[in-house]
Amino acid sequence: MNRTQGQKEWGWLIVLYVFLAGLGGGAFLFSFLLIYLGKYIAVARIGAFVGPLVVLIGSGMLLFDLGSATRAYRLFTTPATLLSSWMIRGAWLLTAFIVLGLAYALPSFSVFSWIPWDQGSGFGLGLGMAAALLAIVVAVYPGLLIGVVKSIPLWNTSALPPLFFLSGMDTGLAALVLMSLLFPSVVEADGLHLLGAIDAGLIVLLLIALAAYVEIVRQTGVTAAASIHLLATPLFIGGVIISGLLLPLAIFICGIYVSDATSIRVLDGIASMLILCGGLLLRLSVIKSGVRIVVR
Amino acid sequence: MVIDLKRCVGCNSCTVACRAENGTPPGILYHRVEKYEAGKYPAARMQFRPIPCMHCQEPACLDVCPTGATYKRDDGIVLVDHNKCMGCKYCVLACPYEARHALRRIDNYYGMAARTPYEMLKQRDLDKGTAVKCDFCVERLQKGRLPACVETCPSQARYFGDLDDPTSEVSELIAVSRGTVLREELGTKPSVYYING
Repeated sequence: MNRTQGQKEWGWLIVLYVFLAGLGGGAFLFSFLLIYLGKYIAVARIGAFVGPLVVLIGSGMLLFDLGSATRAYRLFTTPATLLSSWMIRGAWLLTAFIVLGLAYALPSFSVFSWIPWDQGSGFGLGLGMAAALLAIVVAVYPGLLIGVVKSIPLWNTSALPPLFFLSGMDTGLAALVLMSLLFPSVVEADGLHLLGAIDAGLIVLLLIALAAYVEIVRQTGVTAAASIHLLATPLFIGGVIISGLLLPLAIFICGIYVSDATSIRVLDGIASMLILCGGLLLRLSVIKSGVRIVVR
Repeated sequence: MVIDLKRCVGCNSCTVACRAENGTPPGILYHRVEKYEAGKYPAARMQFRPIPCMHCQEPACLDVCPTGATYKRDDGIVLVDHNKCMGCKYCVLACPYEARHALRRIDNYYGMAARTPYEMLKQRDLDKGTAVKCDFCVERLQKGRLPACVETCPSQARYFGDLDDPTSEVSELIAVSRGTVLREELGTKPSVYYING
């Protein structure tokens, strides 16, 4: 058996599942904070709706990946396995997040004005806070789902959940920036500068987390080193590190010196697209490069 | 189960007997024999290690199973209830011994021809899309027979018995010959012991 190959059980569908969970959690969290602070509410309302929606789509990807999807209902009929399995914990967490998040987001749209609470009411705010806490857990969860797999050292490290969480926040904010481009009158140059600065800070944290993750895994053992060898492809170095992190960081920093609103929109739009692609490629690289330990 | 590596000649009879007993389709092996080089030149030699499911006391596959399809019987045998498995493949990844497989499809060995009546009989309990694994030949055990791999081993390198009984042949063998388990550090507590050569 060729031991330098990554695992083949989980592919693109699981990559999308974990990517969209992080993105949705991040988008909702930032949207909730903006609504709470009373800033850019028109954009944030959409973000609060898109977050749970994206997580819902991601959960659909998991269902498509199942060999026997008709039995997926068992995720909700076997609570005893909650004691041990992160997949079922994730199913319950994501469901709770989607329900609470949508319950918080929907009343702000006129079509759903029949819903008896709104975002400003005490009940609505409670829903939002609960969903925001769950959003954090939802963004951390993918790192735990694959992080507990002891047979794959690339995944089985406590450095992974923070990495996926930060990347989830980063991609979630990037999605929010892209949405804000649709509302030029709501988010003007100042707002884009602010969101860009937060995103730049997140990218710096993400670079630190990624460097720490790679270094820790590289020192873990031969199998982990083989994973890192697989990870070091042009896709990872070019797609994740350079165009997914360093280039957007440079764009956000340059953006500080640009005061023309249209130019900033173009720059932030490009940076956000790059961040989203980088986040997806990060999940793809980590999942595809998981080499199993040698048993003999 | 105890496997005496001093007796194993790496003939793969166990693998073939397992395949015949369980009618596993192409691409699926419940049992394999790893071949590797041990020692340093000039004392290097080929080493063989048969690897069935370890039927761990603390199975990694059982921990991650979200639907309760994987379960451990009172006698320690770890099984999959195919009517409960939704095919998430989490257990396939979690098993450190690569003893589990995702049954994506059931092909036959003879190209365009249909499956043989024997295959159809043996594969009647297989369910596409679920996880499959070695079950220590539970149907044979019920009839008082040994697992196919144990019964067929031409060098009699395999022993099967009750590890909970300190007077059983397997328990005594492990005690006397200092049997070891694979990847003890993972804490899975395998029920398959090896006597090293």
